[in-house]
Amino acid sequence: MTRVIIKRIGVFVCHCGSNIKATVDTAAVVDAIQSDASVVHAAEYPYFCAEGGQQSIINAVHAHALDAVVVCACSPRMHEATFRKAATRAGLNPYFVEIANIREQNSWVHKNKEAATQKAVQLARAAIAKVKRAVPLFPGESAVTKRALVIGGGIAGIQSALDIAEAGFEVVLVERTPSIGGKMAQLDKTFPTLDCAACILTPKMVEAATHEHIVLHTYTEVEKVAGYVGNFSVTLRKRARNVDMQKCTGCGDCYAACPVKRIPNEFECGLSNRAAIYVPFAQAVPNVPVIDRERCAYFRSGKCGRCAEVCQPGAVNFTQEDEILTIECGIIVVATGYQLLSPDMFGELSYHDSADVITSLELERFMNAAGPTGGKLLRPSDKQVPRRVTFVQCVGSRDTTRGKPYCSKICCMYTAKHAIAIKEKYPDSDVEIFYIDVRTPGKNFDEFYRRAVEAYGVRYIKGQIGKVVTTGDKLHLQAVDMLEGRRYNTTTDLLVLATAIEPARGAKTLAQMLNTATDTNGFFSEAHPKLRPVESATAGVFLSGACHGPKDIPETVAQASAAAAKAIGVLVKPKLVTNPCIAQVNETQCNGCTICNAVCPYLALSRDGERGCTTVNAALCQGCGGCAAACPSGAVDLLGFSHAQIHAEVDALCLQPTTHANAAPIKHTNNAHGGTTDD
Amino acid sequence: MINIVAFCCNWCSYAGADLAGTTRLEYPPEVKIIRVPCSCRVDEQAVLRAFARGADGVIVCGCHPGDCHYSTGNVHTQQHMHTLFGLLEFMGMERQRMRLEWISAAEGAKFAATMREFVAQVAALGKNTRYGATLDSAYDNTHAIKLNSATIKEANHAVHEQILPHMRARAEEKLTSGAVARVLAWGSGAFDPSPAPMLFTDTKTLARMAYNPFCAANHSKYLIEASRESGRTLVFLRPCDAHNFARLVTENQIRRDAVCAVGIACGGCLLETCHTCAKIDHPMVDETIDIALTDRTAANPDARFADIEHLDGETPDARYAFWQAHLTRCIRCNACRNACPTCHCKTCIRDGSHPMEHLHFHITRAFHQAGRCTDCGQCGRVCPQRIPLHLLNRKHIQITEEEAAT
Amino acid sequence: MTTVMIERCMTCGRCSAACPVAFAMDVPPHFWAVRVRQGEGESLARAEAIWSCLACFCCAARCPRGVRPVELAEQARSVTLRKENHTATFADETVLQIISKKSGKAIPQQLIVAAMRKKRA
Repeated sequence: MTRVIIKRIGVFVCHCGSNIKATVDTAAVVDAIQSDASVVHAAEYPYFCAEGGQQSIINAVHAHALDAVVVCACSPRMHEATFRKAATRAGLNPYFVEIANIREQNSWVHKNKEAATQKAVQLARAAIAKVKRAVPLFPGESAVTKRALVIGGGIAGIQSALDIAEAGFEVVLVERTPSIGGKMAQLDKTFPTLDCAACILTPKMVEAATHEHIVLHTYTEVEKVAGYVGNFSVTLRKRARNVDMQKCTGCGDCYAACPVKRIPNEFECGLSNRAAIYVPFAQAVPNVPVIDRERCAYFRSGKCGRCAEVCQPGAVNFTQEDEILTIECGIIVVATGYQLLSPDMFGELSYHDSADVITSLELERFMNAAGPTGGKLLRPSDKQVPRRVTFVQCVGSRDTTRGKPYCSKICCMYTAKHAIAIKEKYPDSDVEIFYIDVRTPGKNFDEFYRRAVEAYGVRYIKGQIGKVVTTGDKLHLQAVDMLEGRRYNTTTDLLVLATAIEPARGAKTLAQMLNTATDTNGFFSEAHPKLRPVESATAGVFLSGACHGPKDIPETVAQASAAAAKAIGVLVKPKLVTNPCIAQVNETQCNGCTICNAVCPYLALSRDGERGCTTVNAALCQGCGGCAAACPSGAVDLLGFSHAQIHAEVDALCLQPTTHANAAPIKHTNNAHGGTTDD
Repeated sequence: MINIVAFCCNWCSYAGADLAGTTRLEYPPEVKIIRVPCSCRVDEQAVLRAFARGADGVIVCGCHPGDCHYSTGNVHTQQHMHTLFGLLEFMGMERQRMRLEWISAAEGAKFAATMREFVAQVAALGKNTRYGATLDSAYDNTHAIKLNSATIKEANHAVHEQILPHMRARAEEKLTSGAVARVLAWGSGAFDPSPAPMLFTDTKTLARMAYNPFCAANHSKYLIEASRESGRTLVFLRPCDAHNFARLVTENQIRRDAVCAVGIACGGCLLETCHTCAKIDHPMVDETIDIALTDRTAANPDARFADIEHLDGETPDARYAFWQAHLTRCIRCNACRNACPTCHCKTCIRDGSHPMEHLHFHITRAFHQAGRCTDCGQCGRVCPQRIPLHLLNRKHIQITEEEAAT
Repeated sequence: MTTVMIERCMTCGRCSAACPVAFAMDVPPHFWAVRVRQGEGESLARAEAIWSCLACFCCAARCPRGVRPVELAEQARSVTLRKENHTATFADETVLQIISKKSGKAIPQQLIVAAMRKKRA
């Protein structure tokens, strides 16, 4: 870094109309700061931010051959950028501009003109002291790998992948299970329009699988993430399917032949069985089976191989092993979704004691024409159509003791949807819903809920169920009707629990790999709750769907597209411009103790084993300066806010002629802080 | 007129201060703000320097926990500032002159109110005449607090006697086989019976190897140099040495593969810190010699913070007098720094600072060990002026442990 | 801080649904926290319900927000008994004072059940 000795400083004191001038004697400030030998020009002006004011600064830079500029005006948060641009136009490095905030932090908060004027002089002196120790800074550049990685193949991941691919960038879509589709593929209908979930999802699944820019890796998990925005390197483990993707025709002979048949099917929530070689569901993409090695007789005992015998193209391959892939990508979209909270903690609801107590997702499968009962709602215990179905909401949601403190957001709506669907299918049935509050903020949501009540006669009861007892073929419910203020005991045939939703298994581990934050509930945290809702705190990592918090499908799709738009915004850039105010390591002082590495939230610092000192990754560093404060030997410094600059500001503010006598006015050197010898 | 330096993070507190301005909320002009990107950028030197140059109060403001623009910066700020403020308070600075406050960009009113309150609080104390740049060398030492340091108890010499032959045998074996090039152990000097660390390269000299209650030096620091020599170094580590060894390996100061670390039983030594030491484990060692014999019966770890609590019970004036009395005797020989196993910077940040800024030198020395110090007591042991420097380390250990407990 | 965090109650009704004697109560448990919150602790103390309470702690166990209605009943009982010059129990301040965070600790379940039995006998 070239050290420019700053000897000729221009100070510009702005009146801001009367905003500053009414409280600060600007002429006195101009007079006072000229005692500093480096100040070769000082001027005041009504509005330096105006075009004329900026021009006068530029003219002064030329006329007085200024090295640096100090503007005493409003907050740097307001016009620092303006004056830096003006300095650039005048041929100066933009970081040779410092602002003394004499409006927001002086004239607007003080009334005593004398005191405010004195403080303005001190603030100006601090800015002068700081700019004297400025070094020219230039934004860095880093390349962008034009490829996106999308983690999670549910509707969120599919939508993000399609949007990015449509913009012309290559996308790698990774899904942990054998098929993409996620939770939406398990659903029957969607609220509030009652579209069939599969009808709107499967075309997207196929599109994602066949898109020329999308590479699909199912049955694959992320093992390691390295790198930074623009240059991620992600290690994937593609688990062995033991079926050759190229050869398989998806005929299904193998799973028909498989002798191991009584394995609960995960996709059907265990309501039906699958074989050891299986596709999770009929519309699976890719439609290629996998062998469940834990259950497969061949893998357990070495005897069997029936699937291989019946497979005409010879796709079954018992010798296939897990494959490790490394993906280079510029951005990562996290779309890991959610899972349902287990109702284990709610023993009083008898989920484990009675087959007729089910979760809403299980109900989805019962209602689904492709489900275990072919779309007939049959009680699990006796396979009869239930005459009365009871729903209970907030099982584990809004529960600070046994569940989750948050509202799961979608349960009110899907319960109304279930109620309507049951009434549509079985108009004679009786549907009762126990709720705490019905929450329906969303387009056409409340209308939908009211339709359930008014058009379908669904009975909503404000209250909860305290105990469920099974007698014969009935479930006896001990409940309360709060509006009546009395106990309400009733019976039902089928009880459906709207269990809370929680982050998918492994979300925390993934967050650690990505070095991004999760909230107290384990959902991924956004960079800013209002203004950056789809970016994570880690540059280049975007959030899509329910991994970020409970969301319904339209919201998920909207966020997925938003994440894609943000991702495309990175991918289209030829180079990423980096903030020049980043950490810098003085290698002659650094002894590689790595104390600073532990402080960095961005993993921007690492120890170079060969040189034995810490190095800064300019693309990762965000310039917080924690490392500079943590380094005991002062070997790490922060450009733009260097030790020398901050200490000079401290001196300028404290070593005033008016300060008390005991503070010896020492002008000393502090070599350890980057050579402050130019006092 | 008093002078207050406020360090404000760019994203929350500085914006909060701007909002106080926009909404015209008055606060005293004594407050001058220095903008930093994040409150974690404020290093201890900036705060100490402010006090040294005559600031009467320092306030550090950051985003609320959880709201940090840099995700966890303010967590570090909190740790750093609590330790630093605790040390300053321990040395006699009034706590009311230092403050850490979380102020968001929306809290203009809180900013103004905090500043009004802080200025009033500091003004009530008056000007900071204490922690200016230099010490008052004519300070009257007779007012110093007398410490009730733990009584030096007998060390268990039997342990030392039992182990020494094994140490010699192990050293001889490894040197003869060529497994190591040298052995780092305590050896008796020609003129001084008090054993000092020595490098043995010849089996003939092993008779001079010593292990007794006078073996106070911590071996780990010597390994920094020794591990850079060619060939491996055999070293004998007691629990305290081993803890420092592990720390130095973690901080990449000792080349682990160049060291053959042998954990040995500790019978205690005549060091003050030894008598409150509870360490019995030997992290990261390769082999051990009779470590089960480690005897801590003479130690009283409960008394570890007794002196600290005694000093904390005194007034700031009395604490200040105590440290003045001690630190005016400091000759800046840097022995504390050289002996400290975790003091291993290439150049010290306080080199070149004013030679009379003893307070700030010692606060910095102690502060930089916060979270790393193993309480081995070398700093106090080697001080030729008998300044109880380990108390400063104990103080930040106490602060760190209290923070961890909450 | 008392463990009866009345402000946390969101009137879900799980307490009344769980309570084995709620059917026989004039004021079922889901009203209790609300009543005290609305400054009508006196009416709770006058209710028959607090004498129906079995101190079985079902309401406390099922509450999703950690409110312990059972302790409100016990406190109301104590106050009433004291006013009627019965032997004072462990809660020796008025209901409102207790729940206005003056009581320091949770009342142990055993103690409430034991006190309950003593009074009923």
